Formats: sequence, structure tokens, C-alpha cells
Amino acid sequence: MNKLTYIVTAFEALSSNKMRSALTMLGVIIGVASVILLVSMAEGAKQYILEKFAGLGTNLIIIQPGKVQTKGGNFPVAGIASTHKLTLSDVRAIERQATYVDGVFPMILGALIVKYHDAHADTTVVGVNEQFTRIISMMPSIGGFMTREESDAGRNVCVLGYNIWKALFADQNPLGRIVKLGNFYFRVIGVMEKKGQAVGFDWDDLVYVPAKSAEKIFNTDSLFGIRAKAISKNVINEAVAQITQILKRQHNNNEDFTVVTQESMLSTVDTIMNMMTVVLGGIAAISLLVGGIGIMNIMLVSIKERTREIGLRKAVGANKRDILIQFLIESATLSTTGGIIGMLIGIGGGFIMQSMISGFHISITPWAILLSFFFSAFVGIFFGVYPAYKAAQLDPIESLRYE
Amino acid sequence: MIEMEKVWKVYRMDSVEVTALKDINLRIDSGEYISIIGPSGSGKSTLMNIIGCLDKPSDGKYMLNDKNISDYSDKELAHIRNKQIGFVFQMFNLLPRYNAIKNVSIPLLYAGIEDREIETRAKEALVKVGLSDRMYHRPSQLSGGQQQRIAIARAIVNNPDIILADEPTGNLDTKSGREIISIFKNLNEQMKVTIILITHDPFIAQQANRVIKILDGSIVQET
Ligand SMILES: Nc1ncnc2c1ncn2[C@@H]1O[C@H](COP(=O)(O)OP(=O)(O)O)[C@@H](O)[C@H]1O
Ligand SMILES: [Mg+2]
Repeated sequence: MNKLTYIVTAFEALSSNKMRSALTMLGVIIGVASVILLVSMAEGAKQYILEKFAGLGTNLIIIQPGKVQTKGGNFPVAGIASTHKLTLSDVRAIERQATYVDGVFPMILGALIVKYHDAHADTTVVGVNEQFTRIISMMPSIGGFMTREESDAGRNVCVLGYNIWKALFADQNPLGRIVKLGNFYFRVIGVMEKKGQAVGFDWDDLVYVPAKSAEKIFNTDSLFGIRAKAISKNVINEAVAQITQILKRQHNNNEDFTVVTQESMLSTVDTIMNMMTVVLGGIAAISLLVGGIGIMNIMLVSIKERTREIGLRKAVGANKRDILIQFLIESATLSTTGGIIGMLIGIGGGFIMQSMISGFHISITPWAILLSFFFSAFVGIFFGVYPAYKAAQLDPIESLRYE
Repeated sequence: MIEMEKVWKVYRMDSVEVTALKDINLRIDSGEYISIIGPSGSGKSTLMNIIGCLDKPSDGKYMLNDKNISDYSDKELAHIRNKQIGFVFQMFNLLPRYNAIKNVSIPLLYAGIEDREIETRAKEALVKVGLSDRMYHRPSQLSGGQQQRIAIARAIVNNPDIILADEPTGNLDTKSGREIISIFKNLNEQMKVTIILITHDPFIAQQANRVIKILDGSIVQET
């Protein structure tokens, strides 16, 4: 029997009981579709996070208060592990002494309501310095950013995020207007370019003020963190060492802070997200396995029902191998057809979800498609072997007599 | 061409032994038309299954075309059944999902025949049994007699030397049964095919050149 004939025979047998074949394939369809969908979702989330972090400027060094006692690039959430705080004098020390550093800015964060006449908006105030725009590579689209003098002196000037501008001023020119932040009045000197959502927050909901002014608003001198930029990629590790040394000196030889590069942070994120991908893919693969057991079950039923057919085929010249291959091809056809349909549903479903749910990103990875397809074919053959072997071993005389 | 010497067939079920064939000595020449008669359970089907290489003797020697098939492999026996033997059963054993042509084609699939030749040969076989106007019908759309004719077409499609028919008229009315028998007769006379036919019907049996009567696993009479 030639290969094409085997396949045609399999299709004829399967299509003679369409409902049953479809239900049997459903297990594999769901399995493959969910592998592709979940892996694509996890991959999409990973790429989204990496992209958003990478958007924060190159050669970025992150300095946070507190020390985490692990190797690798984990970085602590502000305050949790900190016994000692980072202050503006630490920023000045880095600026003066670190030769491998091209720029540095402090960050003081706090949530507030910003008001202008009757209009108001929820915002996060960020205290930074004049170097912020250069290091993060973001520019005001209206007016300008704070000057060095305004930053050093702690003037009450502010730059609005895009959404805040829209909320307070609609489309009016805000330059020179006075807004109220907490108990303080600030003069608007600029509006930041539209930047969009990032991980966990929206850039366009921020209001930027000099760090020294933020100290007044929030009545604190401890920083959320410090960001610095190395002068080039090649000396980024030297810059980290330098900053560590300078801050240790500042803190009486205590290393109560953490200095990491954005790159090492990203590789941690990458590792975590890859783990998530594998776990999600694995869970989905189990459903594929269940689909395989469904195929085995149906093949066993089908062979029982077709006992006389098997006897007849043997009587007219089929040998054991012919019967084995015939039923193996049937189960492989079930699983690969299911695999292809599942693939289309997985890919299509991913795109539909992406277009319907905002902020939902998928990344269709070829390896997930290939893997799930070949896995489904393998499942069909693996779970088809036992029923096919049973069929091949049937005694032709008894089979022909089977009622 | 068919030669049996002291052939026994014993079935063992748990501790019980059933002797289906006892010391059978038989010679059938090429081109003969033979009827086998005997009461139910006397061993007729067992004998036919051994002749057709679906089963092997427990003891004794069976030579088919001067070859001892007792040490043939599964694959070789399947090949002999495919090329040299055609079976016709009481229950027709047609695949309900296939039309007449596809049913008749089944032996050709295992014979290594080229795809485009298969349909031609299946149609030729259907013409020979007088079903040229029912080629695309499925078994469920045909009468018992027509179904059995498809089965005969399937048996002759690979031009076998021997046709083994186990009570082929058992499920048919008298008229259809006679038609089936006349097809066998034609095949024997015109194509020189050896016909071995099991039947209960004395009228059908006596049309053969030779009648073998079996009782309790032994040949008791040859005429
Ligand atoms: N597979 C088997 N196992 C046990 N006994 C069998 C088997 N096949 C046939 N027999 C027994 O062998 C005897 C002959 O059966 P069979 O050749 O079918 O008779 P017939 O075709 O003449 O009616 C019967 O007694 C039957 O019960
Ligand atoms: Mg019988």
C-alpha cells in the first residue's frame, strides 16, 4: 500500500464518523491552541516589559536605598530593606567625584492632587534635577524643563505630564500659570511630550518638580532612588564600582544601598519571564496530553467496532504491518489535523484578544508553533501505537466472525 | 495444486480440546469445481480457512502449489491470500462506508497496483459479475444478491487461482442464490478458476464436479 493510499484511507475512515472525529480532535485543538496562546502571551508580556524598561535610556545605572543580600541583579523596592537613606548630598557626591558618570539625578516620589482653579487631577509628583531629560531622553513639547539654577535653589516650578496638562488646561497654553501641589504653589514652565503607559504607571500622569522642592512638599529628605548614566557602555561596570565606592564613603563605609545596571535588571526580568513562559507552556502541554489519551480511547473503540473490517482486510491480503500503519496514520491524522486547527485558533485568538483588549500584547513565537505542532503529531502516534498494535495482532478468522 | 496429508486441527480452550479436523487427506486439482457439504460444526469452515491460508493445521502437511506453507511468515501468507486466493463469505463482509468500486479495490491496495489501474480493474470485475449499473452504490443501497456479487468481484479482482466461498448463498433467497452460483460456474468454466464452495443446499452442491461430505471433522464421502 503506498503512502498516499494510507492517508486517503485514514481520511475516509475518519470522515465516515465526523462528529466523533471532531470531538476527539477537540482535546488536541484545545491543547495546541492554549500552548500557543499562553506562550505567546507570556512572550508578549516579556517583550513589553523589556521594551518599556529599555525605553528608559541607555547605560542607565539604578541606585536604590537598602541592600539585598543576594547575588545577581535583584533590586529592592524602596524602603523595604533600607536602614539608611539616600539623600541629595549623595547625588552631589556622585556628580562631583564619579568620572565614569555622565549625569545623575535624584528621584523623590509622592502621590498628590494637582489643582488649577476648579480643575484638579490625581498625579504622582516626581522630584528630579535638570539632568533628567538628557538621561531618560524625554523632552518637553511645550516650554522647557527646569534649569540648573531652579533645581539647585529648589524653585517652585513644575513641568506637567501630557494627561495632567489636558486635565487642567484642556488645550490652553499653561506656561506661566500657577498650579497648587499640596500646600504649595508652582509655576508651570513646560509640558512633557506624550510618552504613554509603562510598567505599572503612566508617564503622562506625572508632574516634575525640582527634587529640593519635592523635599518641601513631602517634608522628607530621603530619596526614592538615584539614576545615573555611564559615559559609555564599555565603562558601565567601572561606573557602578565608582558609585558604590563614593556612596560607601558617604555612608561611613556601610553598603546600605544597591547599585545595579538596567541591563542586569533586565536580564533578571528576562529570566523570570522565561520561567513563566515554560510554566504556562507546560500546563497547556498537559491538556495536549489529555487530548492524546482521548485519541487512544477513541481508537480502541473504533478498532472494536471495525473488527470485521480488519479481518476482511487481512483475508484479502493485508499483513500485520499494513494494519498497524493504517491505524497509526488514522490517529496521527486526528492529532495533526487537530494540531493545525489548534494552531490557527491559537494564532487567530491571540490577535483577536490583542486587538480587543488594550494593553494586551502577544508575541507569536515560531518555536511555540512548531513545538506544539510536532508535539501533537507525536502525541497522536504515541497514543496510537497501542490501539494499532492491538488491531494488527487480531486473528483474521475470529475477526471475520465478530458480531 | 492443493494437497493435504493427514491434516489435523485441534482447538484448545482452557483444558477442553475440540478436534475440528481429523486426519484429512485431500487433493484438489487446478480448475476443479468442488462443493463441501456437511452438518453445522462438522469442520467445513475450518478446512476452508486452512486451504485459504488464514489458519494453519495443528498437524499434518498442507501443500499449496507444491509449497509447504506451514513455515511461511505472516507477511508471506498475506501475500498468498492476496494473489492466489479469493474469499466469499456468507455475511458478504463489505465495508459500509465504501461504494462498490472502493470495496472491490481493497485487495488491489495491498497488491502494489498503481493507483490509476486500481479503479479500472475494479470496474472490470464489477462488469464481470453484472453490476455495471451499480458501481457507485453503497452496500446499504443494494439487495443481498447484489452485495454478494460485489463480494465476488472483490474476490476475483486480483485474478486468483482459487475462490473459496463459505456458504455464499446462506443469506440469500433462492433466486439470488442461483444467480450467484451461475457466476461461480461461469468463472470456473471460462476463466478456469478453482472453486471450492461450502453449502447446505443439495441442489447447489450437485452442480459441482465433485462433492465432499464432512462429518465430525472427517471426510466421509466423495462423489
Ligand atoms: N476458534 C475456535 N476455537 C474453538 N473451537 C472452534 C474454533 N473454531 C471452530 N471451532 C470448533 O470447531 C468445530 C468446527 O467448526 P467449523 O469449522 O466452523 O464448522 P462448520 O463450518 O462446518 O459449521 C466446531 O465444533 C467449532 O465449535
Ligand atoms: Mg461454517
